[in-house]
Amino acid sequence: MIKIISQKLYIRVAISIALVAIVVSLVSSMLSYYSGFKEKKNTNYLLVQQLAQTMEKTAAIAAYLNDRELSQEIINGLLSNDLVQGASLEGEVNPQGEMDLFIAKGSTNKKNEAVLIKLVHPFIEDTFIGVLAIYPDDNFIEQQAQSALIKEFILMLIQSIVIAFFVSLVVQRWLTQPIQNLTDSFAKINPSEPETLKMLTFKQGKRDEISRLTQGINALMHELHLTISNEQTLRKKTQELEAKFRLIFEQASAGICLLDDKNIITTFNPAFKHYFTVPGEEELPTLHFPELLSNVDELQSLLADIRSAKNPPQTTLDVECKVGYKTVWFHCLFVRLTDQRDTKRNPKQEQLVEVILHDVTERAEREQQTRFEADHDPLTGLLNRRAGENRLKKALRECIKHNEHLVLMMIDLDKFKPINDTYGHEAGDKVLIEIAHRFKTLFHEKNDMCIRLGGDEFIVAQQIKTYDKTATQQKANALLNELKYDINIAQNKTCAVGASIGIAIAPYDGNELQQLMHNGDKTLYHVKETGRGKVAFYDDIKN
Amino acid sequence: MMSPRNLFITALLPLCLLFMSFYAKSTEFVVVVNKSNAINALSKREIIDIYMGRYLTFPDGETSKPLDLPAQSTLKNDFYLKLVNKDEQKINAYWARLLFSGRAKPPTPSTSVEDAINKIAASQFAIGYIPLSQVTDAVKVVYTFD
Repeated sequence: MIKIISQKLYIRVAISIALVAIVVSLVSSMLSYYSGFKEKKNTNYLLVQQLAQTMEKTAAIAAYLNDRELSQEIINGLLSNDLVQGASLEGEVNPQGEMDLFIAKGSTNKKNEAVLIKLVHPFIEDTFIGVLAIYPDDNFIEQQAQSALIKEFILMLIQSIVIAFFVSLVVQRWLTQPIQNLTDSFAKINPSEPETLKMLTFKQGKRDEISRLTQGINALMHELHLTISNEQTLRKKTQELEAKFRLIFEQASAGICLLDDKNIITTFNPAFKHYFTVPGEEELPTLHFPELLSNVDELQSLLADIRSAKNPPQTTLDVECKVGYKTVWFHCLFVRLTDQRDTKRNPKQEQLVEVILHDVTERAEREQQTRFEADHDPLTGLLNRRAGENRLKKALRECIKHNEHLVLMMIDLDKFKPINDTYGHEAGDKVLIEIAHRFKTLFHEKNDMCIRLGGDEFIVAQQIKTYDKTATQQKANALLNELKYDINIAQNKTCAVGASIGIAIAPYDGNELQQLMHNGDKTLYHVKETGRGKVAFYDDIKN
Repeated sequence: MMSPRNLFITALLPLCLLFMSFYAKSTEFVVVVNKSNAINALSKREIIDIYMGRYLTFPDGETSKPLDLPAQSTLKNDFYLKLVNKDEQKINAYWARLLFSGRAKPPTPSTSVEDAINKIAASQFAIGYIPLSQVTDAVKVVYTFD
């Protein structure tokens, strides 16, 4: 309770003033007591002296006359005074050494404090006939001084208390109350709620410190209110914007990620994670982007390129990669980002790269399918004429460039037409499929090509480093033998076909495909004309 | 302009006359006692002590009865002036102060110098003061004022 009270400013002021006043009045009272006591003592001494002087004449007469009654009367008269605690009157010492007169009453011990008056002979000057001694009453003086002290002290105390009361009143009225009002209205303000940032009330027209303080606070709060409101509006906008961006980022079907200088993924969205995690796993297998896409060399050089300022800031790449056991195609858009804000704080400019990935597996597969379909004969799955010729042209260029050889075998099936006519197209198709299968079984190397030119005409080509006629002969014969085996065309129904093969070897038999094929055809016709079912080389028949 | 003669008449003469009259009035006193009194001479102090009531006896122990000349007489006044340098009024005040304390009593008054001389001559204890010019053989001079 006391603590609560003493926290109030005006009470504290009042208590301090009162305490100081009490101390000051105590000290000053003590000082005035001691000085007053001395002064009073002196005054009293003087008074006693005066008293003695008034009695001097009479006392002198009494001493002169040795009149005891008169002396007694004088002494009694003196003692009736408050200031006197004792008095004595002594007469002359006569020639016999006796004192004729000695009257004393009261306390006459303190000889040194006594007022001594030598009594002069009333009729003969310069002759002393006795001594009147009066002893001032110190106790009485002390009591008087003390009562004066107490009175003074009480007066000063009352004065102090009154002053303290009025000072506290004034402080309370002019200082504490306005401050309290200010504090109260200030307490209603919650900085987190701008609506409460209202103007503090103060008396208009007053120009004292508190009013000025209030005005200052009001101005400050006004500014603060504006700032906070703006800030909040901005923050709200930013939050909305951020939510939108977040939505875009989170809900995007495309995988989005950010790469730092070292091509480490720093940020990625759920779609990105979904692309690269096998079901059942939570974490990305690695955060190193080129490794993640299992295409380290190409991606690292691409990322280095895009970071260089002289290159365009965007590029795309289709990447095939394996996620778990699946092969996935991604269409990646790489964008070089330059964070404008970072440049101020961080002099080392950080080149971030944003990667946006789309899963294009389906499209890629479809494209592949389409290309395959465009390039291949739908029945046999062999290259069709157009694609085959393109491949052959390409292979021929490479052969010439690298001093290699291209073996071109023009193949025509024998006895195929009768099968078609006898068993129908379906059986013919089956024969063609089986034949194509046998081609592919024998010629399955990387540089081998099997082409259906149309009908029952085929080309099988081989790109080889060194040409060995015997080996080629053997391979061609092996093919012929392979083709002769029976083919199932229906249940319990078989048939057999044969083939004629004309072989032309580049670059010996032509630098151009057309020429080479022409020579191959020539050789094939030669075989057909000379009895079918055989293999012939162009260099054997050209002359 | 006042001449020196005029000045003398108007200012100095009355002053001279006044002075002369005082001088003329100043009486020489003697203190006398009964012829049978053993005392032959008294000091001024002894006379004061007797007249102011300190002692009721002569120095030899005999009772003394002082006599005063008539009140408000020049003689009485002069005497006290000579004796204690105080006029009669002061002496009266002195006695008045002692009126109630009792012991000391003022000298007995006499009606004239002759009366005083007669009383002294008649009483063995009496003592009085008379002008020197009126001293008779009936009394004994014990003190003469200078």
